[in-house]
Amino acid sequence: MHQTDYARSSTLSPEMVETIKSVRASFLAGLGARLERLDALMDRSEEAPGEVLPRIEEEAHRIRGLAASIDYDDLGRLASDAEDALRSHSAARPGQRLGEDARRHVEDFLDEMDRILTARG
Amino acid sequence: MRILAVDDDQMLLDLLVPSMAHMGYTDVDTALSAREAFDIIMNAPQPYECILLDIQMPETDGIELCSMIRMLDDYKTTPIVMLTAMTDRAYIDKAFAAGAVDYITKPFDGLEVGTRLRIAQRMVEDRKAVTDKVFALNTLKTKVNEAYRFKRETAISIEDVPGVVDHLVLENYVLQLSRGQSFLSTAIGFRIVEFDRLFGSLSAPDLYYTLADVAEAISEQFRNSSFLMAYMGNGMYGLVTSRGDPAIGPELQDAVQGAVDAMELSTEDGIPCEITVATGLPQTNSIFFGSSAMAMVHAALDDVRHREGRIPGFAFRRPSDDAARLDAHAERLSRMT
Repeated sequence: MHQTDYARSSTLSPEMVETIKSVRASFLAGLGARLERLDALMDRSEEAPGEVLPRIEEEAHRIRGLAASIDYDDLGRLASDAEDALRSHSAARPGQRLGEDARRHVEDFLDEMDRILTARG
Repeated sequence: MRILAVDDDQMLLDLLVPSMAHMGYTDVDTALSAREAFDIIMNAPQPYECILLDIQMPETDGIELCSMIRMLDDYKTTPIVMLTAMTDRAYIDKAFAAGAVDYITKPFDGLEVGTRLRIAQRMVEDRKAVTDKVFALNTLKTKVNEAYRFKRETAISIEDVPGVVDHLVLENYVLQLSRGQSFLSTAIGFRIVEFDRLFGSLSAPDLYYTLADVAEAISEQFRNSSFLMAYMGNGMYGLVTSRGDPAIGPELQDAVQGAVDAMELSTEDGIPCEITVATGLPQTNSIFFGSSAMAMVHAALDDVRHREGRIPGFAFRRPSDDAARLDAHAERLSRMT
């Protein structure tokens, strides 16, 4: 069974550790559906980039804000990279298909979600 | 302290609310959207004393909501702290310009939240002590001169002038600038010449409105800029803007003075009040001899402290090729931080 190493737990009260565990469990419970949704959006990103890329960016933004607070530091960092790449893309080439670099950032982000789900078993 | 926390992510609120409770802030309501938050605010039996707003939310974002809240009489001075995963200066600047007093970057931990809330609470208490005096005086004119005066050095809060914030807010903003961001900023000081004379001769309300009018004259010159300014006490103002702001140039001194003169200021009794405003030299941090961003503001105030208005032959330094090179270096540094 995967043991969570709460890096900051020495500075947190037992109640806060429990809160983080609880939010982490909720996050994990919804992660599969989230990944499916994002995969489906990525599948449509070539045909309707103007519609789907802002939705992926929004999802990355949410995960960026939350992930590291519940000890998913790597996921938070990759979500942050993906969001920044998508934001730069939409500013420079609004409504157009993703460039190779931005696509790689989004795929790394989705791969990390997949890795977390796999590790959970 | 009664707090309203607004974020479109329920899980984030699930984490935030217990964090705040752990720090002793248990009187917290939450909203998942700007619309819901505004409804709650409008129907609250007592105004909230602190509001936490996520910047990026669908439909109405936190910055827009912040502006809407600031329009309400009960929320002119309530600390609004932004929650943001965005560290871009543009977002932060917009939030401050809309009336935010501080920000917390996500992901956050409970300790940071507690610290920020304590700062907000101190702001509520400090500001209440000073502004209550000023505005109580305004409505109780006869008691003003005897009962309440703010001290010459008190950095009172000036309300309703675009870009003008409480001195604590300006300090918060500057202290949170990253090293790279501070290199891309400029601070400049302004001073009412012979402020002591003015302070001794005007009533408290007249003095307050004179300070506000001068702030407005300065603010007008920066209307196309992203800037923040605060009254720092002793007739001095500190302003922070982007390095290379076109508003800062040889014409600034005359433009500010011209705007003040055009106001034809007078006391409530109709006595004309001639004001001279001195403009200091813009101060920046050197990337080679970097000091804190707050030191830059203090340097700006020190520079203007002894100026007596326009200096013959005085000219602002224009960015030379060297400065442009340093700017480029600072920008690269900013991207790395």
